[in-house]
Amino acid sequence: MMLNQFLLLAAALFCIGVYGVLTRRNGVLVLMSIELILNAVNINLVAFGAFQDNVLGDVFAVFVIAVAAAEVGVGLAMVLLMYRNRKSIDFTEVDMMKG
Amino acid sequence: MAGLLAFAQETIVPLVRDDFNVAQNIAFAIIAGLMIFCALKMVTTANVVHAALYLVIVLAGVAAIFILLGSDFVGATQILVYIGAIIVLFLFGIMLTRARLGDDETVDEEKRTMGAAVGVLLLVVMSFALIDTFENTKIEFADPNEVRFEGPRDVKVSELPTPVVKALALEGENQATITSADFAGLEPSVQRRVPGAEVYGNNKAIADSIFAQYIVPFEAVSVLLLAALIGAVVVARKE
Repeated sequence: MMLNQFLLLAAALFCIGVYGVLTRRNGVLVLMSIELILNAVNINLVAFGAFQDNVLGDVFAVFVIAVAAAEVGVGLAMVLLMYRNRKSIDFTEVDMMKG
Repeated sequence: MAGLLAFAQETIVPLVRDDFNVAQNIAFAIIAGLMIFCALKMVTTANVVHAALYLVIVLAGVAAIFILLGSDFVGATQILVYIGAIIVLFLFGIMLTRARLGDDETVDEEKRTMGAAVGVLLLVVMSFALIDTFENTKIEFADPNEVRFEGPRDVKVSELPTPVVKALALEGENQATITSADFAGLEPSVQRRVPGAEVYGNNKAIADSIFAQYIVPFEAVSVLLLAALIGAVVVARKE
């Protein structure tokens, strides 16, 4: 198999994830799009690992999966808190930090 | 047009050439097409629960790609952590925030156009860079059943299996030393029977790497997970 077919697939997934982060208003859906981006990166890591014939790509992919799990936990807790305080999870309405 | 034809000849013809992982390439095409379709549906569908279910298909596709690349451990981890845990977390998040099931999104047209423009531009730039850099670089997969041997090793001839004794012409001797050069000259079926030789799979290499070279990042990740756990509880609990 070619290296490029995996990298191009990852690039496509990454761009779809970016589109989702930019256009979605629902906080949970923004977090899902971030997961898409992280998975695209993981495909790249594993593909390069297979290409170089070592396991460093796999090791880093496992680390990325662990960090992604932590990120989702904290992210969803924050979305939940936001819902409790404002009865909405629309990210376009978040302006507490605005100067 | 001529350039497009040349590109097709250079990239698509090798994909269908019969000595070049045909089965894997067909599987890849199916999985990749499904993944991109479902990813697009995920970011455009109005129903939040449907978006989560489309994400399941994309994540399963990523796991399949990992397995296709020979990284079965990462693929299994992907299924366990993502499909088993993170998706459930997402579904709980959707249900707890009561995000009007059915008609969630009314994204204004301008934002959607800008988002699409950014995404397409990013894709074009990245694709150009990738095709320009890697062109037709192939992935040469290592033999998963490769037998490794750390030589030289002193052995008692009486304890060696007969095929090994015969192959190394050690009959009549008492004590012998098998060097890496001796080992390399053996048939693969005989190599497996040499004491100290082992099939060195991907999983074993990952374990060796995590628990030796990357032990500090590994411990840091466990502390990070603990911190995230406590942080999530503190943030989400009622006052």
